[in-house]
Amino acid sequence: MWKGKMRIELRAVRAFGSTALVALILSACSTSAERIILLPNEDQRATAIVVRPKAGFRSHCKELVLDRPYAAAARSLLGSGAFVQRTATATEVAETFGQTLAHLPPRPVSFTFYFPTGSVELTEESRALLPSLRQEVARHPAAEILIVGHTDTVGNTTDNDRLSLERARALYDILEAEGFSEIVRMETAGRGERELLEPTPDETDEPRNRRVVVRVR
Amino acid sequence: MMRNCLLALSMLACVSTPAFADDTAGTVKRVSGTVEIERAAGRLKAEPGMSVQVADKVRTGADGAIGITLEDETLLSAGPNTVLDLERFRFNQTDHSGAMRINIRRGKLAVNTGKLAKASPESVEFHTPDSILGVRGTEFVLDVEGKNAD
Repeated sequence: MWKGKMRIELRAVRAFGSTALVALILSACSTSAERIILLPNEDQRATAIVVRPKAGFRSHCKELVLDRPYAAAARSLLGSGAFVQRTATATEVAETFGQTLAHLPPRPVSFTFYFPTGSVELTEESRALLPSLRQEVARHPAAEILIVGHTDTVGNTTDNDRLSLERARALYDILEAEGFSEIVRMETAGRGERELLEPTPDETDEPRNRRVVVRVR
Repeated sequence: MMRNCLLALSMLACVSTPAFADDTAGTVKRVSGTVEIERAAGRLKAEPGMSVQVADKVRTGADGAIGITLEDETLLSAGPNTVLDLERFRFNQTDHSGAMRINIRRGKLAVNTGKLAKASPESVEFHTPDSILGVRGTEFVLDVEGKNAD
């Protein structure tokens, strides 16, 4: 039986004219050489990449999970085409991706502003943040500012979505008066009560949650 | 179709200041060397501050590199000889829902994932010619070499 199968395969090889070609067709997972490296992240969040072959490739090209710093999956055009898992080094990353990583934009930074109850004037403390906001804006190439309003849990979702946007627009007007809109693009959004700074039950009056976060990116 | 777009636009205007065009998926932050952005309107030379739109193709030359911040704060950079498609991008600033799909056909890419990957990791995909990468709260680099030039 085994002998018979062997003969059929050999005939197939002759038909194609090349053993190597058949081997490639039978085993290839890939049409390209690829390498994926998970980098250590700054804030120690749990991170992972799942690498799966696209449909249509053979079952031995299994899904891989990269979940440690410098865990890498790589495959070449030669060989089986399956991914090989290994650990990369900081040196390898710097040599291959140094120029690419140098172009990664800076991480966005947040500033939180508070309003006295019932007022659209900033508190003194919040006004004192404006010089550092200006410095941060200068550090970001093609800087953009996203102004996001938040509410506490008093009231329903619809009202709080609207109220949070009104707070964001009030800060927009203040920053516009300070000349920020001339150097950056500014946009407003409301997040309602979805992102509480101080977790509270529903219908809780909490000044720390009534805030506007300015994101510089 | 046109009417749907107009309806969507006017609804959006009610809940957020439409400071950016609605096709905007991100902003070019850094550019070195030759980098082109291809869209239906034609080929544009990439410049810092330029908006990146859904369905844009980013193409870097042998001396080129580019850094882009997407609306959900995904940070991307591409090295030399790279072809990237921003195939799909939707992001709702209010509830952080949406979807993102980026194809790298060849070259080098660095990624620092943003709010979409945090809120719904299953909606974020990076495609290479032969693989699909799912990510969660992740910084990674990848390179692709092969004949998949376009």
